[in-house]
Amino acid sequence: MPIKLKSILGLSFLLMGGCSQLHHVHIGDIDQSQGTLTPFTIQVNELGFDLAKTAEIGAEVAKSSSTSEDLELVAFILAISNFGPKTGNPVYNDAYAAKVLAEVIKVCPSKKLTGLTSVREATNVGPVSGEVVSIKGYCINNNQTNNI
Amino acid sequence: MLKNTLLFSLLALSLTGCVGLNTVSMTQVPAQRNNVITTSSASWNFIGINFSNAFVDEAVDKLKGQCPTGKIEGVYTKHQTTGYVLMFKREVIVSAYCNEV
Amino acid sequence: MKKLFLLLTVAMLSACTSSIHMSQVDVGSNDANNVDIGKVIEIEKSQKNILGFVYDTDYVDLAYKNLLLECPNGTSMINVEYLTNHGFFSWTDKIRIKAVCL
Repeated sequence: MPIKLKSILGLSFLLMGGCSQLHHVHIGDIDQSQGTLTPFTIQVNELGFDLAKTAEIGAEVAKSSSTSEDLELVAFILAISNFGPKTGNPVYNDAYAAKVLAEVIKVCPSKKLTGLTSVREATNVGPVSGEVVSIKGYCINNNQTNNI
Repeated sequence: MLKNTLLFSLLALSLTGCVGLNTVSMTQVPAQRNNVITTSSASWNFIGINFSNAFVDEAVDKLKGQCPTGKIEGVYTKHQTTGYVLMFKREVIVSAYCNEV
Repeated sequence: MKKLFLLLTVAMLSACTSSIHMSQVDVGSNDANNVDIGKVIEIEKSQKNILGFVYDTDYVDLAYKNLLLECPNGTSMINVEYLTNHGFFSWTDKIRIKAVCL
């Protein structure tokens, strides 16, 4: 098979095969006694990118030995510059989930909430990923509450 | 002398564990906070190989035992792992308030 | 020259990566879940970590104590975020708490 076709096929599989990864789930109390529940979802995400892994892959597939060595050096520098525990791929903005509380408050006009589920997940496509924080929950319908 | 120093350093290193935080979670804090209840439970393993996570249930049971007739509110949970040489201690530390209804 | 350019690019790209481990939002039940948006407080505590050599997680307890002090009547909503800012052979673990005080 020609190399170009191989590359296109490889890239297609890589793009199509986005793996979903669940890191953390927290389920809160669900109160169904006060009326009907209207579900809502809030999702924030950020581009995750493992540059060190990318450089490592580059070093492995590089044709010339000098390029391979350079990329190995790059991977090493990146690895030692970004020490620390990682959940998913690293991101370049640590405040992407800063607004979730404000969004949850805004989304429910009745201001009565229940059953909040917090999920930390990711969709991976090779060394690139979408790092996601999603909050799912229910608004307690005020009218229903009054009817009851 | 060098051998003794090395041995001593290794012993000291194996006794002092480095701790890593896994997760933290909190539920709503109540206004009434007179009766604080705390508990913890731990599980040891060799090079991170575990066969059960029952120590978490143990912490829940201990917490319930401290507040048999009341409402447990403001639950603050820390899940941490302390690493010693080849051995790891997984630990759940819980603090809450026991309020009589 | 090429290597110097490469190193500079790497140094620039490697700056300030982070990882959010968890972000939990919780709401009270029954009476407390009627969110009256009053005072929203924000607390952030961190701990510098060099190659993993830390021996306690007291900064988290400190953040929780601050929350208790700032919300004497309790909370109706709470958001806890645990994240790490990566660095050169070291990192900083952070706890961010946002809460709606009652």
